[in-house]
Amino acid sequence: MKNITFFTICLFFSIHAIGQIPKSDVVSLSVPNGARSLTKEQLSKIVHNNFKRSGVPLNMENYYQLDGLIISFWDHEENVSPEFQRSLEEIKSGMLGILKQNNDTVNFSKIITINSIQFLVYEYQKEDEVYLRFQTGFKNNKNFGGIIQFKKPDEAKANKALQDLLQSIRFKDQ
Amino acid sequence: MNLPYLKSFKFYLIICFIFLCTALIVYSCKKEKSSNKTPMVTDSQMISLARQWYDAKYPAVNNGKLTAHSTGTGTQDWTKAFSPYWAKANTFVIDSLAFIELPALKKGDMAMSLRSGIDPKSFNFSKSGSLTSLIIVNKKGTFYLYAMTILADSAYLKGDYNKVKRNTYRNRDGDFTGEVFYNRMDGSLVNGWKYTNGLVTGAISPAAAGSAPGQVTQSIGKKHVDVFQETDCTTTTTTTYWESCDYYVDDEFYEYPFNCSYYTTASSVTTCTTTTNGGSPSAPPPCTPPTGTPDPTGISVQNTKTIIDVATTTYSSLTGGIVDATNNVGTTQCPPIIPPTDTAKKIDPCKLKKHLDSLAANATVANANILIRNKIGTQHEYAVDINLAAFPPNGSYKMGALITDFNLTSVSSNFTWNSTNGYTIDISHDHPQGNGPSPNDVFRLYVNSNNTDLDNAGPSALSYYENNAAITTITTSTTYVITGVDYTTLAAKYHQYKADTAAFNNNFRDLTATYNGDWGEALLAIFGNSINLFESYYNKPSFNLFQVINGKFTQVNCP
Repeated sequence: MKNITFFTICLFFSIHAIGQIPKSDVVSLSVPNGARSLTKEQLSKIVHNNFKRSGVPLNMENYYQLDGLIISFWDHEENVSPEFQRSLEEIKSGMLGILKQNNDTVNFSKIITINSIQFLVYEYQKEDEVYLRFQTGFKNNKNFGGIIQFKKPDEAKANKALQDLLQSIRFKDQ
Repeated sequence: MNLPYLKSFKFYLIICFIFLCTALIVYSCKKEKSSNKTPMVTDSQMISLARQWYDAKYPAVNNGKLTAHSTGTGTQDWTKAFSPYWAKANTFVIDSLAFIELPALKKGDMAMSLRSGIDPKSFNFSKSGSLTSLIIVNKKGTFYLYAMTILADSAYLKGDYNKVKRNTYRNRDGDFTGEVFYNRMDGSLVNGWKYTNGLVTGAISPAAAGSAPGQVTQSIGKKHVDVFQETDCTTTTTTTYWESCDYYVDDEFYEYPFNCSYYTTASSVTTCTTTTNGGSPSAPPPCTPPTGTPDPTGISVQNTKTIIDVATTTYSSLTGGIVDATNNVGTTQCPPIIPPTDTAKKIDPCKLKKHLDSLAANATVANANILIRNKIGTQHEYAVDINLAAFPPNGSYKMGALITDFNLTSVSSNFTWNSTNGYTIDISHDHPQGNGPSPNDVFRLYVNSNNTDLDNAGPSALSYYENNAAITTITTSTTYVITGVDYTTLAAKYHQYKADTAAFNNNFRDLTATYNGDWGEALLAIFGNSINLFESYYNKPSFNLFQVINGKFTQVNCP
């Protein structure tokens, strides 16, 4: 009986742990402490109940909630010539152009290097809903990006979560 | 041994056997007869085949997944707005064609209305009296999908908005008054019927090009010496109110909408009613010939009067339902249709790429682009029109004036189509911040196609424009060229864009961010292959073609 209980508990935690493991073919990473994995249905309800808009893509695999933050990230692959794979500087400038065309309030945009990996990080908001986005440059036709969506009062938590997330990212050998 | 009881038993056994056989034969005949007459049999195999066909034809929507925000789907792509509720499929047979009627699961909401001018954001969908279902027709193994929208009259509803649900493809309430519209899944109207107290009293068809709303036409003819027919036709505008929302992939029944936007689309329809010998009104057959087909009824327009030489074909009784001449569905109610002759020629995008490559070497075009590139540092958008010097083109070009509104993210242009200023075939402009073409840039192609001078120049000029017009966007690193492929789709998307520009642009921004800064991929996610996207890296002599192939953003290897 004790064995069965032990086995059941192990199984429960294993399944829970598997659910928490972020999926990416491009990078290895750890989600911030305390973040819980969401199914798409759970995410749908949370967005519906708490936000007017969603910047979180609809067809990705990695969704997490950490207090008032929604965190999502994804791989992206482009089979185009290297000359059409733009640098982070070009993307930063172009995204600012699109955000300005859209009359979004841009809080900041910057390119930072953590553990020898360059990241473009930019944040914009509509009313009190804030979108903190990040992405890497290309490596073997692939890059990695993500978003943290939150309400303005959670901004400090979001920045801390982003810092933790980016610190954990390593490109996988491809 | 004499066993009378056994003899009696055998006798009863034979009687029972004969009775059973008779019952079996009668039952089997009855069953066959009933399946012919009232084929209300749910044929799970046919539903399964239809579902397989639907899943293959509309792979992006069959699994309930939205791979991108829905704003980019377009008003004329109804498959993105509706999906079949397979669990509630109902099958039946009419005129040897198998039909499946399914409730439509709606991603947002949609309602047709004869009332225009209502702010779509305040439109009350629950009190629209409009109900849309999906109809799948199986004709000799080929499936066709239509949307049926029942629009009930307020006199019929009497405030009971659920009453509209009593009406189906085959059955209508005895007192049903209103209209039924059948649309293809690209949003185009196939035909429709007007009902008064459950009876067909008018035939609805797409309005002919140039028909003005409110226009009334009359036709008078004599089919036989003793039969006098008068057909009155009225052109009206039907407004479709749309609520477009985003849903997450697991939201199978679209219960949790967000990012909703509202807009309207409008279509002109002609409703014709025939009166014979002063009797009760009925409907002429709504047999719309396919585009480009000579009109079999021989209609000739004289101001607002239409004189119809009544076709000598005798029509079977009008039963309502879909009458689609293109797919030959329901056309037993129609005279024979002359097959269409498709004269439209699509330009091969790889040939267009070669044309752009040679055009880039043209001195006028090259100078225009250099002029624009040199203005990037001003942090203002500049534009210059590249015009054909003559039309039909003689190979020479002339440059229009340099224009700027001293704005970082927008610039106007000066499209012309005349011999004085030239015939604008390209508008070159810069994006100082380095982003590629925006949806607004794409829509310049469509907006300019409606220029009055171009319109007055006739169909060959318009056709030339649509096949060759370009918008060039120049950044420090890249030259982008967009050309139009499908102006019908561009028109539909433009109306969506105008109805809620902020939502459209938000969608473009989110898609660009999701594709990690690839605005070309985002643009094609919205417009698909209704445009061609060419990119040339700075100082490279040749353009590259990008298209959506098998749902993926692809750099095409042109020969």
